[in-house]
Amino acid sequence: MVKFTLIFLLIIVFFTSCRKQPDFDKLVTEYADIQCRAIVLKDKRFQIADHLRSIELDSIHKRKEIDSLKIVISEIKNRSLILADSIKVKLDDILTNKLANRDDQKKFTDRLAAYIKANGCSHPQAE
Amino acid sequence: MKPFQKTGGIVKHSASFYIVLSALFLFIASCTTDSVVQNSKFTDEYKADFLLVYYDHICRTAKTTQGFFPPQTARAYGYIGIAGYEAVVHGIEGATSLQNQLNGFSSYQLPEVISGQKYNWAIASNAATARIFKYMFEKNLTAANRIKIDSIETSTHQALAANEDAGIVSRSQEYGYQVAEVVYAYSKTDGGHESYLEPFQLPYAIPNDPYCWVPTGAVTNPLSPRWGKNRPFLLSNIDKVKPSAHMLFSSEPTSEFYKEAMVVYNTVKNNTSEQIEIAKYWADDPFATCTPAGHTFNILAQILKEERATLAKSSMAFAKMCLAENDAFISCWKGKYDYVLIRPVSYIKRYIDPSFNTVIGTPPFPAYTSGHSCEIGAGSRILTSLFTNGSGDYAFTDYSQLQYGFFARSYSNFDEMAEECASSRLYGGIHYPIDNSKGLQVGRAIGDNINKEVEWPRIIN
Repeated sequence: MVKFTLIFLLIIVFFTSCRKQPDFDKLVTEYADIQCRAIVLKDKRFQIADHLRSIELDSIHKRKEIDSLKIVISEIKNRSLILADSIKVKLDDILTNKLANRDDQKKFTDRLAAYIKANGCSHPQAE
Repeated sequence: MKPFQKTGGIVKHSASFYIVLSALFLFIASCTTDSVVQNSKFTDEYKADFLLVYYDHICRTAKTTQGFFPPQTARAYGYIGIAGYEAVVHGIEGATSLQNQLNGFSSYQLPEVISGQKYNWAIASNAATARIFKYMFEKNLTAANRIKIDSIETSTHQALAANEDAGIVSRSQEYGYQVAEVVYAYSKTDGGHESYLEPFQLPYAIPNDPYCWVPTGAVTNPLSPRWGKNRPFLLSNIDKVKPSAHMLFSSEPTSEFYKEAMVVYNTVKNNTSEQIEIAKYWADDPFATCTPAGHTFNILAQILKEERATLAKSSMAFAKMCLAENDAFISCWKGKYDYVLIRPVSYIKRYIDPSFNTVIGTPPFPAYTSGHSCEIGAGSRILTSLFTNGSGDYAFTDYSQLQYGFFARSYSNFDEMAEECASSRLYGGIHYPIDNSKGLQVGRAIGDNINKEVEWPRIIN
């Protein structure tokens, strides 16, 4: 009886250990580009907001600058929205279909952050 | 009198026993004011996937619709959540309609379910949510967003109706639409109806005193100065939840107020890169996000998805959050315009250092109390009630900001998350510490009121 139980447990352990581990490196490198594009756009949004704040309203010249900045803001906003939609779809696929549990999901985002911090976002494709 | 007699191994009950039993049954039945409609499936037998799709699209719609600043967005979520809950409440065991529980709602007659008839609560929820969603953004709703709502409604309806009796389908759909109509009628009288058309509520004059708010950027009018007069869902969220007065305004360097401003000044001067990241993460910049309330809803939706919450739990969860967020903004805005306190950037430039700059932009309304802190305080209490035993301990990672170019952030407790969000406003240089601490206090009290004063069903899944 003990022998049978041991064998049974071994089989369970065997099958449990056979669970295919997600290929985090592949997932991260595939996903990193789109995330980098979002990071670059985010930085641009904050830069423009900073610039806008630094402009005073009391000169006609600066009013013109504000108007031209509003056009840039509108364009960046649109690009940000489109990119956010793409990221949501891609991320949802990864988190829902490719990573089975919360631990794996957290591992993925941790590794993504580490990867981008290590490699930077210097050459992301313009969306 | 013996309630029952045992005879030859068979329990024989006396007539009085049956009378008592019947009375007991009637008593219990009457205790549940909204008894579950017989023969229908319970709400917790349906999945909530479609509801999560709607909430995702509410966020996107708030981002892309003119006039939806934080108060307006929280209000839109508010009524959508009520309609969604009312559409399914009769399918939840032990649940009570919000009609006689929310301020002023009893004057509006919700449709009644037809006794003995079956309903499909998911179909009702789908119809109610789609209709109220369109109403809340109505005049500024873009064609693309309207098409998307219609598309979600149609595809959800077709999927749910596929194996359902035609009578049940039409009855449930009609019921959902009627609920949405009543909730919309209720919304029209709260003071915020179509506020997105004129969110700055002009004209409005701020007193010209040294302690008072002055414009901090290109937007020279303060946002929604009369929002605090809107009708809250719970009166107690205004009457009993008021921030105590902040320290006396003074420009004297020895004063408490000056010291408070110096905390902001020194924090901004010495921010770590992590603190700057936190300031931006929670800023929910209006260029591209669905406001702070939307961020909190995104977190709730993510957790509901991860927990595979049923339609019953999701509907209740969204309703709770909707009430809390709407009232948090009303209460907070009331405080802002009662005190009309000058922003740190204006004070510091005037009395401490004219070259001072904040980390993120200062939004166009008074400082006291912090809107972010109010809303996250309220939201954290709702999350705590939904997913913890009251401790707030819950390990999760917020993925919702990845789409905006941030890394995910992890928390082990909802209070920890709320504290970080509140502190982010100090790191950003746009709020005094007291704005954040009192804002959190107000928000938490509102969340607690929603949890305790409204009768909610006990739903596990």
